Amino acid sequence: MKTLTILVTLYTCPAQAEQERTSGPAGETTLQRLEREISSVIEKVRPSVVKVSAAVPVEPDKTPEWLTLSGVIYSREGHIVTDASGVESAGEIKVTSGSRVFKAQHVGSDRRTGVAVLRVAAGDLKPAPFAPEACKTGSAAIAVGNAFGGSPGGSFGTVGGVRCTIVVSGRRYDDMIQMTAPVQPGDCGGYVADSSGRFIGLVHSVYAPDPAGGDLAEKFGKAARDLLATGARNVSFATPSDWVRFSADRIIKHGRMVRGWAGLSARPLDEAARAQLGLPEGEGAEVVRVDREGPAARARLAPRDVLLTFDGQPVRDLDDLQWKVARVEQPRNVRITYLRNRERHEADLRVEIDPQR
Amino acid sequence: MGCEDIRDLLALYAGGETHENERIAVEAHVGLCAACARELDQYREMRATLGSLREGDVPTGIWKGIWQGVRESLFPRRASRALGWFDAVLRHAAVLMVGVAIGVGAYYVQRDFGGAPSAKAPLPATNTEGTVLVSNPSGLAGGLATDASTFRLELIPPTRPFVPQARPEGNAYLPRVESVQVDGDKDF
Repeated sequence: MKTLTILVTLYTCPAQAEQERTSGPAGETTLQRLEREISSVIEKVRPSVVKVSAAVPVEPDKTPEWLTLSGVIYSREGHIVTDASGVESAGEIKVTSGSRVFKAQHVGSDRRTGVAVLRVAAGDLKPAPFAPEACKTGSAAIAVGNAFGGSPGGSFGTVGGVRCTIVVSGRRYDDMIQMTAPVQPGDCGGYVADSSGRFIGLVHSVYAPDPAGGDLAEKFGKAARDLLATGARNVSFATPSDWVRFSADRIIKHGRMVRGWAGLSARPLDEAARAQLGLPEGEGAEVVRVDREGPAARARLAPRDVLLTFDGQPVRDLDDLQWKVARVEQPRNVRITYLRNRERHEADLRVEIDPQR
Repeated sequence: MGCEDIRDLLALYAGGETHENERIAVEAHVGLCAACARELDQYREMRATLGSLREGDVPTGIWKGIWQGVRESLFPRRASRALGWFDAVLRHAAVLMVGVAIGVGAYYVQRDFGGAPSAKAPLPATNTEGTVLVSNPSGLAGGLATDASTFRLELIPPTRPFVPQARPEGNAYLPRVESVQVDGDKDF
């Protein structure tokens, strides 16, 4: 009997420990479980988050000042993805991973997505696991970064919206994730994780009330507000993982950002206009803006034209069209059809390589 | 506030003489500006060093006079080459201001002890143990008196060692969104 008791105890103890590890101890409240799971995601993500220090020239012949932001390990070969605006003017860049500090090389940046790739000579890095699907509104967003230049910490929120267009320092960014996870100065370039700790976005910027003046950061060539404590409204933005992967892969492949460029902005037609033009449901996009020196202007496209087909395919999904153009690696001609004053026109649009202005 | 405005307040902040709103402004600024933070550290270091040479707090207002002058001496404003001589004059004026401020400080110390400085008073004597004996002709005790006729101003170690304020390595960066567009445009 005694032997049986010992055997039962030996059998049940590890099973109970495993159950506590996975689903928590009995009697744990929902809030306690949530707290435990958020902490566990942050702990899991932390090894893939690095601190990026960039020496930014302030004035000629003066010692540069150091900006600190965050970065995410992208590959075992030492590639780090971070925010382009924080490192693009840096003369020297350092990456801190745990207690190790590496000198980093700036491989390239994509100004359209705000993604920069750095490279460090380190072999045993833990790359971020990318989420297989794009995140959805309402899903968890856990932001992990080096707030105020400290060690990686985290905050919890949800995805408030996807495919947002924002303007930062006069530069436009499409397809951004809007989230409620509070981010602080220094979190820029940090890791946004889903509830399983997989990478869904790169911390980009914050929406905040205009803080009181100050000329501190003008010397950095950035707006003063970029360096002041912000985040009161808890509306922050991140570059989605699919664009991060696209930009990083292109930069690594070519040593600089290479993506297609048509030089126009378009938006979906509203139902009333579509009905008036007699177009099928969901088809057509209105040209809103044409870059004066871009390919669309050379193809004589103009605002208010309605794009009907692109490369032989009906224009239905602008997100899809944006991807099609971006994937172009060599300049090439594309046949387009469009409506102007209800008349149908055809043209050759030469998709070029984005000059990254 | 810009760096120039904050630097005018750094000396006062180091001496604990700023108003509440000035204190908040200085703390917010030095958290982000490495140059001003370095300057503040130097003020604190000097204050801590000087603090070991006397006992008790400095009378209110003294730091303002002293540090305004010291700042000009330690961190001179940039001068054009054509006015190089003027810069030298400013340096001498700053040194003179420090002297005047120290004199004013000495006056207040004497006044607080209850007696005006006497021309016939013997010079302070320093003993081998590092204590300074100061004559007190009026015989008033004052806060530091150990007997009716002398004050013993001892060289004491600072009660709190100077610890630099913990601050991040650099300026933590996070861009601010200027506008969010909801019209569904795509740029490509």
